[in-house]
Amino acid sequence: MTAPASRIPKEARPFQGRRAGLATRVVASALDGLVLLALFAGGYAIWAVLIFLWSPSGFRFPTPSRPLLVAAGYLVCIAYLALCWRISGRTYGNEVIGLRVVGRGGRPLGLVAALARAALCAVFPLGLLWTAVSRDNRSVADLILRTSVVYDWPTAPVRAGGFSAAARP
Amino acid sequence: MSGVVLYPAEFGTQPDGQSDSGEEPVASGQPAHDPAVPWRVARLLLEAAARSASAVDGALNRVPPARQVAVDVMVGGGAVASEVAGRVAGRLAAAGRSIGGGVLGLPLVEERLAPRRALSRLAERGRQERAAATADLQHLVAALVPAVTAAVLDRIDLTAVVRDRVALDALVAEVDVDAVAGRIDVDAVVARVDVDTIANRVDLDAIVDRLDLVGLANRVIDGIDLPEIIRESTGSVTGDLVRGVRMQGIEADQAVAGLVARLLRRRPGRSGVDGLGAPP
Repeated sequence: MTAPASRIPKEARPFQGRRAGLATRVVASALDGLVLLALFAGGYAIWAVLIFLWSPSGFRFPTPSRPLLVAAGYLVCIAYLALCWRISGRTYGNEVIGLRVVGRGGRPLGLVAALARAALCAVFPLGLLWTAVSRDNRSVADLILRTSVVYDWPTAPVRAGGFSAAARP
Repeated sequence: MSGVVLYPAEFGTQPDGQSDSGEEPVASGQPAHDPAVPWRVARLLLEAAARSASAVDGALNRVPPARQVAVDVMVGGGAVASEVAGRVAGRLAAAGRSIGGGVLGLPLVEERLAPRRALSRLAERGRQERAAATADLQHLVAALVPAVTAAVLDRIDLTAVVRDRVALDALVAEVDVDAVAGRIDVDAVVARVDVDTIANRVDLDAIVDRLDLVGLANRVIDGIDLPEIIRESTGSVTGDLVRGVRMQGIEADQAVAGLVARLLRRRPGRSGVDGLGAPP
């Protein structure tokens, strides 16, 4: 489940497979927030382009309502987190920082568990702060769903603009 | 030079003038004379002449049997004559010894004319003549051997003879090549080589013209896998940066955990996950 030791620095090998602390998870979440903003902006741009193509003469930038924005934001966030955790166990922030989300016994998350965890993280992001208080470095979502976020450095470095080809499911 | 060396046995001397007994060579008066010696010499010469003539006739395919019979008759006659002469000479020598012994004992015979002194001078003269003959023979050999050797070598294929009759493989097998190589001063040999001159004589343009530089370059590029090198080089830079961030993140996690543990006055908890052991 962990990355091959040959590609991991000697000083980092003892931490592989251990639960990550608050600092790395906050940094990873911040990176994921940037990714979500980029996705949201991209979605807005695509929406605007489609409107322009549909009616170029009467084009105006779309001004969605607040509830629609909130609903769209949650939807994009939950979909992004759930798909990443289900597919590879890593979001982009996890990939950069070298973290991975696992279920009980280190197993990959199922789709339901991934969706539930994504929803908990999206609705109650402050639950991440419990990681600092928890003796086992677990957030609120981890405590509820019995999941863990562990150090698991990928064997290949992350390239700018996307996931590493060596990212494992 | 080997051969039949004949000298008076009664003198007791060798051709180099040394005496077997260490005494002055004088006539001993003993009946040691071999009357067959002159005949043996003559017989050898005759036989040699006969065989030489036979060899020449054989080479010319002309072998008259009558000549061979004549030679045999001459040899037989000579043998009989030698035997008769030997017997007569033996009897005359016995008579002469008895008479000579009486004359030598006479006190009135002059010392200079004494037979013993006369024989000594005669022996001395004989040695001188033989020494002169030996010198002439050496001169003759010195003159003949080079000419004969050159003529023989001109007639034979020495390389073919060596190839057919000399076991070159056996000889080469006994040669200690390592010892020979060890005696070679390679540095001295290399020092005598003028590399600059050799390099100046090399036609580099002709060599380059014969090379398929484009094909060679393509093969090198195919073997190098340049895109992979570029990927790895750029990836290593990015990887160093990412590794630094990850390690700093781990240290920050530990710092936060330590701070919280001190605030809550507890020991750091267990952070391992069952089924996810740290690699060795």
